[in-house]
Amino acid sequence: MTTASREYLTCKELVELVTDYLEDQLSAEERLKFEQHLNWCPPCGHYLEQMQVTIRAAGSLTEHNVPEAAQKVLLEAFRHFKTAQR
Amino acid sequence: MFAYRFLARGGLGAVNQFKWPLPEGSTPGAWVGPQADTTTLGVYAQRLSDLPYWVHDELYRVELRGTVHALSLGVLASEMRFVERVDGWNESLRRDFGKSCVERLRQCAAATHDEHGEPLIARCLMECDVGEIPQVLAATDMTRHEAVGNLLVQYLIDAVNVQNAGLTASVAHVARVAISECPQLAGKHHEELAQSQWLQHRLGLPSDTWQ
Repeated sequence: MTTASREYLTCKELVELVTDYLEDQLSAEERLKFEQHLNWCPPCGHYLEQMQVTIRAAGSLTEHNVPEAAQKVLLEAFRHFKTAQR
Repeated sequence: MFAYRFLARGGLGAVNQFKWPLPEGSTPGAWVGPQADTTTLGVYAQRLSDLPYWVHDELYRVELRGTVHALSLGVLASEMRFVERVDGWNESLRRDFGKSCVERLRQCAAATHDEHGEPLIARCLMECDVGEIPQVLAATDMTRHEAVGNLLVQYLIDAVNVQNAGLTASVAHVARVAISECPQLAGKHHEELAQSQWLQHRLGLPSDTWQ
């Protein structure tokens, strides 16, 4: 039985993999290295928590959560954006 | 098949805070599948040689069943249950483990300077109190010294700082990286092995039977 090398995951690599981690898309080896990094790197642990909070908050929002005044401002901005593109 | 698993205080998963079913007396906890690790892949556990990579608050001996795969930093099984807590692992031993990592790094840094004709730096490193190394080195301007071994001194300062902050897993990581990145120590000192041997000796753990 052979095992893969014990190369470390860097903070940059963790940031690149965070979405795949949260969606359970990493291989067993990648997931293990991801969690091992979190074990010794508190800042990356905070980053993961922030991502989870953001995903939860964003997932619970619908267009009805946007106040009417803000909707008008946004729609107006989008109209001008299209005009500016031409 | 038996292995180990570190958990956060209170028997919680270190990353997802899952409340693992722990043993009660001599009765093991319930068998748990992949959902406990928030994945469909399986449950993760650690061999003796993996323990330094996963240092946390509580250590347990676990039993695995089903398909078991060996990975670089652990093993993956279909199911796992917690058999017993390794009582010897506590806050005091955890700090001692961090200290041992710092101490080996200090010895390596001093030896490297000594071998390269800088015995005064080596002596300074070995004679000061471990916790005061960053201040002592700053006072002697050694951190700007353009010498072989300077990299180890920089890592040593990092290791002392994270040890003083109580971040034992980070101390162990810094020590492993420092020594693996020092070409003068290639083949002379294997920090990962030293760390797992320290844990095995101090906790009285049997040798790994994993192939």
